[in-house]
Amino acid sequence: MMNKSFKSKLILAFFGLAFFAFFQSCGDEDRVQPAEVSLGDMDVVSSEILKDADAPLYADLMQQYGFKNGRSSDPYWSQVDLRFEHAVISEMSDGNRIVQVPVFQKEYDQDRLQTQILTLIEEEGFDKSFLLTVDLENSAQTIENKEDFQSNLFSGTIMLHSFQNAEMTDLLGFKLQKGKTVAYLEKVEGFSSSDLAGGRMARSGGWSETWQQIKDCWNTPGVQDRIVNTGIFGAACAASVNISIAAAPETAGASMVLAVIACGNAVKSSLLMGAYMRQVGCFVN
Amino acid sequence: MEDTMDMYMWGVFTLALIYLAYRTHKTRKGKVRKFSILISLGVALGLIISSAVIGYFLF
Repeated sequence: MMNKSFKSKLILAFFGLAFFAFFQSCGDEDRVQPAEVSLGDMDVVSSEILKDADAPLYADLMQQYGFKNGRSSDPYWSQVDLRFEHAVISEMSDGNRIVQVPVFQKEYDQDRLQTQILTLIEEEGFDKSFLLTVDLENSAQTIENKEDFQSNLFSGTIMLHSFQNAEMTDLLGFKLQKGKTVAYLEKVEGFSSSDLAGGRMARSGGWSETWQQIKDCWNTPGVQDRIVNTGIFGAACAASVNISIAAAPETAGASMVLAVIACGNAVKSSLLMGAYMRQVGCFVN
Repeated sequence: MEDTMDMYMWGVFTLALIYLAYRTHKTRKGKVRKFSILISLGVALGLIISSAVIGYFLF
């Protein structure tokens, strides 16, 4: 049997902890550092970090792919977590302009992946001076050869695109996603989204498609973390509401405040989860 | 790392809250207790689902 005074103290202690945790969690942001430019023998003349997503170059790019506020309605591109605000644009000694768009990734050896991609690009007959690099962090996996590259070894999505003399001339799209069939490489002339769609996997309709979308969403990097976070906050919310329903009159106030804080955190986490799911293209179709 | 610690802390806090709810539920008997679990789960699930939908379509 729990003593009422002890229970009051316990609830107040939880209240204090929740208050502390709530304010500590405010302001958390995913931060991505821009990658270094390093492409073979070319020298970087100048490099600047684009902080404004409305920069003319990006405005053109985003418009061409149907991006609105950094998101695309095209399922292919919407799965790319582009960080335009951290993009680096560089003037190269050969007159090309190269843009680096960090992609939200955590499991690759950036230098090695870049080298392998360059090799692959050469094998496919593309000019690497048109290449755009991606920012990949914290190596855990590497690409050994083209077969590896086309296998199911990797999760996440990588996009490469390029500019020459401030005009887009070629585009290379890589899509690497764990559990899906292959990564594919496309050269797109004119940047037609219907051309891009040609590489997409055919899907059956109905429940199987819905289930596939759920699985795709679950396997998208970052989604699981957010679902777990929301689940924990939701459980705390449910428990605190339960406590406030059953609380003695003298602890009712404190337990209600506790419930409001716990449920507020659950709402915040859930809003962020929904926004992130939209951002990475979950359930777009 | 910091995020992981945050989540561990919240996980422990949540477990403690669930235990407290269990004890409170167990020690106080009355008609309203019968539905308190359903009510609290409903409130939490409703908040989470509606917030996720709002977050998906508005942000």
